[in-house]
Amino acid sequence: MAKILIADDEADIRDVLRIGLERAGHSVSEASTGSQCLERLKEERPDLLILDVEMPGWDGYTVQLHLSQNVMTAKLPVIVMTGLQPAKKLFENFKQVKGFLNKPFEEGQLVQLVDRCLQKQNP
Amino acid sequence: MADDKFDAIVVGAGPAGVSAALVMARAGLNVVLLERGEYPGAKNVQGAVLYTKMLDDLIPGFWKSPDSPMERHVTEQRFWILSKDAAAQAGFKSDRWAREPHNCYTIIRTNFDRWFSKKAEEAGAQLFSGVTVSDVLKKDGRVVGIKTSEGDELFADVVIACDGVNSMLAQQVGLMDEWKADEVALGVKEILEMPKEKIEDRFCLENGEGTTIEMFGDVTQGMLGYAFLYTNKESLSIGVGCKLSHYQKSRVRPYDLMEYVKKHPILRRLIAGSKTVEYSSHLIPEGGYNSMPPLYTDGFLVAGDAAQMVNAAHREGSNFAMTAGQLAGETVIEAKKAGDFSSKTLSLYRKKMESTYILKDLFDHRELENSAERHMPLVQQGPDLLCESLYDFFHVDGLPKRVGYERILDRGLKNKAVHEALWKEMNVRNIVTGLKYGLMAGKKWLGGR
Repeated sequence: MAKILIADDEADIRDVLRIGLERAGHSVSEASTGSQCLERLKEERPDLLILDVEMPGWDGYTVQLHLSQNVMTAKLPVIVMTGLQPAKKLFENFKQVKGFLNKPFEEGQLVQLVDRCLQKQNP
Repeated sequence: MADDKFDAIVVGAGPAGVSAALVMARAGLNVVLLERGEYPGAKNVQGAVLYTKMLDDLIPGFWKSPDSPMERHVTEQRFWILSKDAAAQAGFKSDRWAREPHNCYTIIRTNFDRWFSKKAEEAGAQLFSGVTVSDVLKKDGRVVGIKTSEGDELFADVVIACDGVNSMLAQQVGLMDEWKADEVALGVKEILEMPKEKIEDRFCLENGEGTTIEMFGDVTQGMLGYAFLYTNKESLSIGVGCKLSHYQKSRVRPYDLMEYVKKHPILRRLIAGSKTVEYSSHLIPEGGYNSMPPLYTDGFLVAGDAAQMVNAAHREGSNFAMTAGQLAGETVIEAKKAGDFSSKTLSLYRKKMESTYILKDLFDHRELENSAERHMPLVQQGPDLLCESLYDFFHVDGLPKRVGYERILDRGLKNKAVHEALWKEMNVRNIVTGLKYGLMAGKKWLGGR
């Protein structure tokens, strides 16, 4: 069981993620904006972050730059929620980005990706 | 949404998408406009300055409308080059800009996008917000529609991708490649609330006039980019944009940079007493002409940020998007008349674009960022050099003026970055180009006599 933080502005997507992850035995907390995500990371120590790219306020890329340049969060594994888009490659430059999740996704696909990313972190 | 067939599907209700939808809907085409955000403008970020001409082409006399979302008409543009504690200032203020039609306006994108998209709806376009497009549908190699993340399939003669910097569509149809970090900038921005009277007193404004300030130098902490401060009706827009590759190298955090800008000793006086009411950040496509994708394929056109239509040096982008959206819309109208949506007919869009300021400006500025990158030491040290020299020039310390002049000259001549820049630029190619333009100018001058 792992603690997972979800950052996405769409409540429906957060719900789908939370239900899937809780069913797989993980505990989940949520943030609906980039800045809320950074605030949560100050209070919580999640094992994994699932991060959306297009959010109002700080976008996913700004959040990622902050994570990678903060000693407390630089090793936190991140799954970026993005489809095929030109900016995907920009995220690949960050070692802590362990995987990409394309919307829409199947529950099995999500759980499998999360498990793989958590295993990568704790071999 | 029911599965349906439209004349055109426009993806993205920003300036490009709304312009395209507006033009097509006015011509009687059956248009659907899809927006990913909760409402148009929910996820869009811009400085923001909007130029009158391009919007006036679409909605003549828009500024006279009582519901116009324009904040202030800009009558003054200032440019500051900052060192740590000083600013070399230049600017231009014109009373001609106080008269209609104004040159440009400051806007707040959430308000503007809602207003602008309503104009497309009033013209007959169907707007659906909160819709994410996940796939492009193809048949026999040509684009025939889109699929939403909800699973709805929509079909049309043509799809216009105006889905912004993170355009998935242009990449899906094979027009756009993945980006490199030196092709994009990251802009961070805040809206600071301030009473109208205070803004007008502090910036010397009257009757809805506005000021823009672009700032270079210390505020980007050695990265390539610039900061800005714009006056709205009852707020200020402040922000800073720098190349992403520089952010990655310098390890500066965007939020920290924003705070640094706000605390700069010259700048903080202008924003003192304000309150942050909104913050945002977004990627800005700055690859320009060299990174621009082909603009069309069978049943598909691309416009705005999705096609890298930004001229960062002149803070132009939303005007490019509007003109491009309009031309894309006009191309579809002509294609509809001809009953042919193949790339052969849609290539008219590229031809139209070539005849406008957009491709000409993007072409002319295509090497600007590369040249700045070649001279980063000068970009980094130049502002200090300039501010120190001006300090020596204006400061009275009881020494003869010639001492100050010698100090200025000495500082410039001994600066390694200046040497390096001169050395790099003194090559055969530049000397030949310089002579060529010199001769051309000479001939024109002689011919005119």
